[in-house]
Amino acid sequence: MQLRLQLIFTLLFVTTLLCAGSAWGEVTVEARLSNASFPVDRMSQLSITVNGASRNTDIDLPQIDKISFHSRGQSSQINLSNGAFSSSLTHQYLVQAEEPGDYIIPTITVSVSGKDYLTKPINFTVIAAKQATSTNDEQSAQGLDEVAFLRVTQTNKHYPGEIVPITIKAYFNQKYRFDDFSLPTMQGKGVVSPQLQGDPLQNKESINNNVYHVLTWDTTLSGVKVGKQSVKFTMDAAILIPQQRVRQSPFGNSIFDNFLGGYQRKPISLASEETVFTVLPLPTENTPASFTGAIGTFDFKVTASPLRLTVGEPITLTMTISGNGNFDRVEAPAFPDITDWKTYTPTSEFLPEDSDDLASKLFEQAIVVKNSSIREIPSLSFSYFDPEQRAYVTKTSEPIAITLHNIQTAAVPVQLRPTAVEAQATPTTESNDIFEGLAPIHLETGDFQSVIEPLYKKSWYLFACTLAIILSLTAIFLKNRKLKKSRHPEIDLKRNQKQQLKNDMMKLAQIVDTGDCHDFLKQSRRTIQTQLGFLWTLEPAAISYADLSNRLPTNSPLLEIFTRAEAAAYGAVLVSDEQMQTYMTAMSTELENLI
Amino acid sequence: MKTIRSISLLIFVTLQLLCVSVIPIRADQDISSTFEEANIAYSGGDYSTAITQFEDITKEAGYSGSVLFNLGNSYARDGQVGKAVVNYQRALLITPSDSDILGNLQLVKKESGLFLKERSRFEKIVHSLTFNQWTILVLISLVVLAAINIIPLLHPISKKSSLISGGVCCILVCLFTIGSYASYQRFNPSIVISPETRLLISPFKTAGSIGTIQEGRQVYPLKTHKAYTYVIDETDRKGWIATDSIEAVCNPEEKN
Repeated sequence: MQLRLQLIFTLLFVTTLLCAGSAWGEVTVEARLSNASFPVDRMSQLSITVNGASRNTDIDLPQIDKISFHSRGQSSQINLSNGAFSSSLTHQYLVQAEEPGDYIIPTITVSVSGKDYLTKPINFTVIAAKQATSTNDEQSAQGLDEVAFLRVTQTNKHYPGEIVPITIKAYFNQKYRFDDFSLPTMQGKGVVSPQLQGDPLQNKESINNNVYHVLTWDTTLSGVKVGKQSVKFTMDAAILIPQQRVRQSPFGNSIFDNFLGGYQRKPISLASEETVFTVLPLPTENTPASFTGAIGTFDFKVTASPLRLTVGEPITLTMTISGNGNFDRVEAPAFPDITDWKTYTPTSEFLPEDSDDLASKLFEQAIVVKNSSIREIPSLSFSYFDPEQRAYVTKTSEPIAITLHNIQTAAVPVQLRPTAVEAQATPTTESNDIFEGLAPIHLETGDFQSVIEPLYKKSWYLFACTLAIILSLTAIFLKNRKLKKSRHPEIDLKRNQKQQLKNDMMKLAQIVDTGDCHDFLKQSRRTIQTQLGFLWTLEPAAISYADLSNRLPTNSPLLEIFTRAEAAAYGAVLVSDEQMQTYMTAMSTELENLI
Repeated sequence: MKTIRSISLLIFVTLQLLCVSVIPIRADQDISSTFEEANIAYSGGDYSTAITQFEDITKEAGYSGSVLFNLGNSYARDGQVGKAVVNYQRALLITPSDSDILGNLQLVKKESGLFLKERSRFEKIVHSLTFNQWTILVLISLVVLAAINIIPLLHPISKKSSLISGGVCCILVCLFTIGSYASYQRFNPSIVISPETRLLISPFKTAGSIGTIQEGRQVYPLKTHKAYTYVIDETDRKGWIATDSIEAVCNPEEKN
């Protein structure tokens, strides 16, 4: 079984070699330029295809004045068709011109396995950049379309201020690398478009066998001038061109070339085709009085709170206008000019589109009822122009019933302002005599201060706070220390003992300096008695040699010193200076160890 | 010769001292006379002159509760509600318990429709005192805490009463610090001083509007960009507003 398989593989290998040999037998070369004409700010693609070879090719590119070639790598292809093999190797280059003109790419020499082959010369034209964009030359446009282009949805006839949604799409060929994208900007008069916000949607689309990376912005257009308005969008970007290298990387691979070589950033400008945005005039007949320029489809609701109140108490009137349209022209519906009400300037708030794709504008207006006979808030009207119906629409709210308390005190209209003349005007238009009730001005200047600053920035405040905190912490520390002392008296005792020993040893050192052995032994005896008295809680004077011999180890130097000291108390005992020094050191060490 | 020199020096020094002592008196007299003139202009209904003179006093001598109060009154009478509110609020920072200032501020706000939205219980507690009052409480509680810690060192008191009083004082320090912090968040508002002011989505003139904001309303600046300031208003709306449409209450020379 294994032998059979080996035989089949061997046959296949031999057949492949034979076929491949035949495929590589006939070598032809071909050079092709993607665009015979292209603008100076763009490039064309030069493909040199070597048929019948898949490796060992060497291309000698010609030197052309003001023309440069940028290698884009190579690709090889092997086909098996009806038992016949064919292979090809294609080298890709981007051709870039420094200035417009007619150029010729002369014959290119391609060496395949040591044998030279020649391509045919190619004529091409490079045109000016502005010419390409302004004349919208078809050929150059085709050249650009292969790389990148901009498309905008078409518009129809609309009314001034009408919000017209449009979609802007920027296409970038995936074969190329791009950078430095600007936002599309509108060019045209009589039409406005809001500034694009946020990141665009990104997806991929295939057009004419080219895959494009597509950036999509949804925005709106709005006509401000009646007539036919030309609109187009432009956008800037940069194409990244691999820098031309003297020779390819030693790896012979375009991937390594990408890593090892740098990129040249070449700016490109995309422009959409011009579209005509027709702005129709609004009908002048039957224009409602409450129309303020709103165009679209809207809904209108009015609520009020509180509905049970006393005369003079403010009511918040909330007017909500929701729908789709030009909300910047939507204004607060005017409250009817009734003297029984005092009205204030409304505030507005725009709420962007919700889940139902409906935006809304909220108006809040404070109103005050002045007359106790009032039983309802009057109806309010809002008008807009519906572009679909091509007619004005007026929506009117229902009156809202209110209940007023405190009828006795509010039986007569409340005089919120001093005079009847003033009472007829609402505060939105009235004079400033409404402030008649202001407290009178002060007649003394009072104290001045150079700046109005918070208390915490004043130095005295910071000092006082810091002092209070430090005092607190110090007091807490002292309190804890006191507590610790009361709980552990032995700590103090030990400290005192150590201090006593230190003092005694100092005295001994002084005696050693004088060389008085009698005093030395006397002081030694006292020191031993004092320290051991502390330790054994005995009266120091009562400690005798017997106590020491009972409690200390037999080899303790204290025993010897104490014996000599007791002997000196009853008779003459001589101790040399060196011995005094030795005794003092031994006593110090021994007593410190005992403590 | 030596005597003449000494006498000249003495005369020079005396003159210098006189100048130094007279100039402030002169300045005080100027301020007092300007203040009186401004008051007369106010009483005569010439509010714009009164405003100019009160502003001059503030520029020359600094901030005084009474001058700022009179300036607020003048602005209110002149129909500049925003400016009136700014100056009343500045006056309140200097003299927080002045009933005239409090009353006039409330009246101007009420008559201009600057009604406050219902506050939460926490907000009510925080706004029951000014920021400076909260900070004073923090200081008092710290001093009391220090006293509570020091007294037992001098005069023995029971451990229980020491612990309870110390604990209560610590809690008070914490509460007042929280109150101060919460109050500080809204300590230095800016006041809308232009009528028909709009909150914009972006910091440029033609940007879309989020809504209008009444003159005299408080906003809290968050950041600035060129001639626009990003603010949050009392109803938590955020948007860009022209910087010259608002004026900070505290440190007015440093515009937001």
